[in-house]
Amino acid sequence: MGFHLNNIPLDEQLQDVSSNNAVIWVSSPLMERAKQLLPELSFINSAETPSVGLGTVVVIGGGSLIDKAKLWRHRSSPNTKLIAVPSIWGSGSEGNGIALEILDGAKKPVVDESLKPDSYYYTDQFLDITPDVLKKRGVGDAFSHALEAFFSPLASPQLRGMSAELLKDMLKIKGYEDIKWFEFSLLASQYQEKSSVGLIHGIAHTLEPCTGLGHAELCSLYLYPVLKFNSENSPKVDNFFLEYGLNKEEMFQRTSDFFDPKTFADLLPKLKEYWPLIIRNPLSRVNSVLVRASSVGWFEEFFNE
Amino acid sequence: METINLGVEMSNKVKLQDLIVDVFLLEDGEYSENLKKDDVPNWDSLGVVSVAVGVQEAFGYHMTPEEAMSLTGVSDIIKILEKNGISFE
Repeated sequence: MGFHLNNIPLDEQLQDVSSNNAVIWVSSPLMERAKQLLPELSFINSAETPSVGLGTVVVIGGGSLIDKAKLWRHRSSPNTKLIAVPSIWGSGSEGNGIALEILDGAKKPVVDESLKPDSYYYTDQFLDITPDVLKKRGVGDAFSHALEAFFSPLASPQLRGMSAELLKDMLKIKGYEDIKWFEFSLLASQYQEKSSVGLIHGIAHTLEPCTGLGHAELCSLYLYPVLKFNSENSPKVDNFFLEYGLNKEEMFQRTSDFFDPKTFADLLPKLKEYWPLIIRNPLSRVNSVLVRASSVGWFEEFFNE
Repeated sequence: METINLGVEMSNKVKLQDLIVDVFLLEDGEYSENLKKDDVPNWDSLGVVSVAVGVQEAFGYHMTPEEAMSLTGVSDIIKILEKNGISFE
């Protein structure tokens, strides 16, 4: 398993990949840049599928395309070497054994160690063509993974401690441009893989198919409200902040930066309509605080305040 | 004295009923103190976590993983809570 947070130019990182038996599977908005960076190699776009039996597939894109590549390799071409190059941080999909897919109108996680790509590389060579809003939402996604891992009822004290240290490091970086967000996103995703996520993801996974909004946008949107919900409904939230040396006020301030009142208001009818599914979602059921049928009322009140 | 004891007794019984109904999304009339794990489709591995989280919130008692995993029904929750000084008498 490779781990390369060295920001070496992509053509150097992929110098061993031969055009004879490899293809670059790239998200369409990144195609032109990818061809400039790797002029010797062959490309397919995100709507296509690689040929079964290829020696190597390099996937360049966000978490959704990386998940698609992981599932394709796992199910159709298990001997193909898979290299992931995330173009944006957030999911940490490049380094975990989880892939999300939509089945019967619902987003569901597939968990298998063999889903993990063989290697992953980080580069900032796609960041300048990535919209700022996506960079910010990616950070919100990473915060949601790290916080839900930290509070998870399935987290061991050791994992909770590691998550707390990660959150402290994340709070130190104020902007949404630093390549370190790749590393933090990866760690956050690996910590939640070892514990669980919670209501933020229960809501996001339920609303993604019916709203058409992306995972990172929904996780960013519900990060602050769910943190407040958890805090107001159980003393364990404040206790964990205190016990692990995290500044509660700073965390609330930071997570509120991802909150968008207008989108929250627009989605409130959907949240209420889909609440019966949200509370049945396996991720909501392992939230750090019990999520009840009546809890949707808290979110209405939160909006009215 | 008897009235006060009855109040405490009802409170914990109702709290547990509310909790179990919410955790397992039971319909009216499905709850009883004799309810068994095998009778509740949602009482799976995730349900075990939800029960432990809910018991801590409602009664302030943190179940050990062994206790949560060993539950065979509502009566076991009552036994564990009573053993830890929470009365259902």
